[in-house]
Amino acid sequence: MPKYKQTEEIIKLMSNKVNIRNCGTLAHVDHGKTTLSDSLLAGAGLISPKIAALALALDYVEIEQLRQMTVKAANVSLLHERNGQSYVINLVDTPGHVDFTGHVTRSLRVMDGGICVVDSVEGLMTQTETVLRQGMEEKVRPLLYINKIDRLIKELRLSPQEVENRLLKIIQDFNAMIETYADPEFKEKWKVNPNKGQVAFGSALHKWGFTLPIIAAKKMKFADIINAYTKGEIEGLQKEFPLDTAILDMVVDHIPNPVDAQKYRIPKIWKGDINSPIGQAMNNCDEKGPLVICVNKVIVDAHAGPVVTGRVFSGTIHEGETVYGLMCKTEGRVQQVSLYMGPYREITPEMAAGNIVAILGLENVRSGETLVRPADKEMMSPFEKMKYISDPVVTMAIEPKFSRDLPKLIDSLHKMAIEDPTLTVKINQETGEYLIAGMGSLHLEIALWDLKQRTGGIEITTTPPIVVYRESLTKALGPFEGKSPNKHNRLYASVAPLSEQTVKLIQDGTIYEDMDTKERARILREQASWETDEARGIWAIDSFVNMFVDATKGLQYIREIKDTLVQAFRLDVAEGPLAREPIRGMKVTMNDATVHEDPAHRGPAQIMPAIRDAIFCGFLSANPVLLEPIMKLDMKVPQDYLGGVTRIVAGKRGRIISLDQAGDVMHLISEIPVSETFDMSDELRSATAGKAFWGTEFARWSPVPQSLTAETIRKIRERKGLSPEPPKPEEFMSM
Amino acid sequence: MRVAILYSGGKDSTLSAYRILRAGHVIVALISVISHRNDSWMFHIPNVELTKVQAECMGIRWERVEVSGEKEVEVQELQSAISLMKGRLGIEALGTGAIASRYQKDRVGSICRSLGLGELSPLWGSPEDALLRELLDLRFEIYFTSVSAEGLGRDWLGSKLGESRMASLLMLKRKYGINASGEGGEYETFVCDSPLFKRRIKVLESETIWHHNSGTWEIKKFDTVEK
Repeated sequence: MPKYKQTEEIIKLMSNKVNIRNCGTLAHVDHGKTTLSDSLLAGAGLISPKIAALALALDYVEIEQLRQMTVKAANVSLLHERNGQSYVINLVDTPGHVDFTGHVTRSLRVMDGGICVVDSVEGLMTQTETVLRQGMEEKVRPLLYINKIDRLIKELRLSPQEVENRLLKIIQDFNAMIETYADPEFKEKWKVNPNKGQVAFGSALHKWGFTLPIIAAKKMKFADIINAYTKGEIEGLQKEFPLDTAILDMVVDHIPNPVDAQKYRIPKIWKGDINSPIGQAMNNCDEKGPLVICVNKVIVDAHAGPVVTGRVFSGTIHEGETVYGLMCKTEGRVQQVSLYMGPYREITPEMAAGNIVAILGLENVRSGETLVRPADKEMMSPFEKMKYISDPVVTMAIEPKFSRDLPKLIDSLHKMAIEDPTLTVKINQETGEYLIAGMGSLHLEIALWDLKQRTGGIEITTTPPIVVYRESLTKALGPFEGKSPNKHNRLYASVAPLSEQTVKLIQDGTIYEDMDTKERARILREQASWETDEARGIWAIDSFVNMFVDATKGLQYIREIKDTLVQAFRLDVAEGPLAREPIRGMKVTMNDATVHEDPAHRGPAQIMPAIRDAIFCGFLSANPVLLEPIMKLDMKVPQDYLGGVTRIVAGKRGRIISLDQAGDVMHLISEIPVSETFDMSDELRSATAGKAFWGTEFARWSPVPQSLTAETIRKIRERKGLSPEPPKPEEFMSM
Repeated sequence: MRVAILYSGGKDSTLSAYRILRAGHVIVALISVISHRNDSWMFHIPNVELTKVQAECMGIRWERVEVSGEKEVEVQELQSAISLMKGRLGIEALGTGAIASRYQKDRVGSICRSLGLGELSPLWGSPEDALLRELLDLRFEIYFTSVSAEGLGRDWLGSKLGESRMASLLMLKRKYGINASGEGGEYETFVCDSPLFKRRIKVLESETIWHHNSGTWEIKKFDTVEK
């Protein structure tokens, strides 16, 4: 069995840090990322060439199904020979679907380089730009693989010269993105040059590929390859120019080894003191230093329990030792250390710095966790909070057809929520329904597919996807009074919209609730014009992007009720008064309060309704608005079909953002409210005879047009079994 | 001992009177305090005038004391009224239905110390679920006359304390940290019947008043009937 031989070799090699590469793929859906990964796996002998060939006829979900793997990122360690040396390539596979942006972000942190897969016909699309931008933020060195060259020849029937021009254009566009998004020090360094072998070309479908140095070494020219393909010499190409060699050579030559990479990446992706012993150990990728593992992924395995995957940035992890999670604040015993081989894990006694490892036995660890030895927990600051660019925008209720399947359903939903933080699972307290929320209707479709796999195919019923809205306000008002039901507590709070800069700082994770108060105040003062005093009074920052600020001075008993107030604030912003949708972008300021001296008279049952009255009365008085999620639609469509597409976009309250011509193909970017997109794919397909390619992603929250607001609110309220009209501010005033 | 009970007409002062009697004391009077403010920190009795009817049903003397309702002043006013009563009725101790409210108990305690009276608070410190259970087992007929806490809606007003209400109160205790006995002013009650009653009160007409997050239930017409 070659697999076992390879595993042993890999384990041995993993201690040779300069021969390690940690990388992954970055791509738009359908651009061939999965087929590329398959070719690489096949090349390394991990799955049979036969299965890789079978797989290419199917879309990626079915491929995953075929291999009984999940659609989520899995790591695989490959062996590659180059110039008489053996290299270990840790390949982080990142699903390309737009709705999985969260997975990509988490994978990026553990990668030093990324292979950007671009379809030669479609060129660079929004999703590519998005992942590339995210990659730059995490200091991942990008390389380019232009896939589906065969399409240029077979479908578009371009001449060799035209093919070259097309490829050159893609490379230029790619370098332009690096110019835009890379940090100044990397702008020039990271631009790709095909003559240096930093760009690979090929067809993952037919498993051939090359870089310019590779063909130059064989004394061939670009046109020779194209002629060979045109003549149908595919097998010859496969033999002469296997894709895995082209890609893995490029990876070995141009992605830095972990020792070099950590030197510049650690100071950027880790905010601790770089001159501390831990900082230096990570900087030097020191396998003898203190243990630091950054967890990018947790998969719940049916037999083994949670499988924690992450990168060892310093030290060496051993089976049987105890580690401490800085986020979960608990210790756990490492039952097993293993490396990845496709869907399999191979057990190894230890794993050293620079590698990607799978750990069993840690129940409380989630993705984003930083693991250290218990003795180092005070010295280590965690990796910065994981940033997620998108909010869940679509939700559906789900239940098993037979109630006996409910425990299975709950168990699987629970695991899925652990593994995919962008998938939200919650219970509607009133109806007892299970609700799942995701980044788009396709995200939910895939989640349902995943759910079926996990539960062994139980029958489930779902409601149609429902759009998630937000409630917001447009005026600063207050203070408003809230009286406790027993009338013995009076609270005074004002409301205001958060400034755009503040919203941005919260959203990109620059400021967050449990960060150092002074540091946060400094950032808010410098970047969002906050007053220092006010900024230091922040009690809570909630995940829907709201803030609770204490502006009271030396009030009696305010400390005693703070926890209740914060808890109430979180509950209130999670279900606003307009339509019980989450509030977004509100600042609540606590101005004053009179609080009963007897604890029995100031319990949560008194304080919670009082602060709710103040917040909601204020909110409803401050010109409230309903926000809807807007999708960005990025489409390439032949000119002849453009009219049909623009009609569909216009008919869906859409707005055209840009329209460019590239040859016969129009590149159309538009924005469409998510509520209008559920049957859009079918409509677009039929309007373009299937000749358009597009991707969607979350763009932003935007106010529902005035003319539709009342009706939209009424529909949401009725769906939730509420009275059709939203309450008036007076209804939250006590006598 | 000759005991006067600070009596609100609710479940706790009635149960306290019952326990004190069973312990072998003599109840010389039920004292009801009428406050001129409805947000008094000490005394809150929506159906206060009806305490006289309850006293009649029990065959016990009824005394009324009026106070201004101003914080701390009202305690002084009560003390001088009881001081007068002490000699007239030969009171040796005050009985209260206090369970957990330190604020109220401390103030009654100070009145007792100033006047040289004993203080009997037989319910003090009892777990809420045990007290509710005892009331139901003793077949007290109890109605909710005011509610003012998260989770206690309009439908509670005028409803009877039974098994399901008891379960709801204990659930709200877990959810919002209310005192299930109502010691934080979460709710008030009125007792229409108890083992002490020789006749029971029958409500003929009532009125519910609801203000946003709190409300009261007032008995407008009633009758006393044979048991």
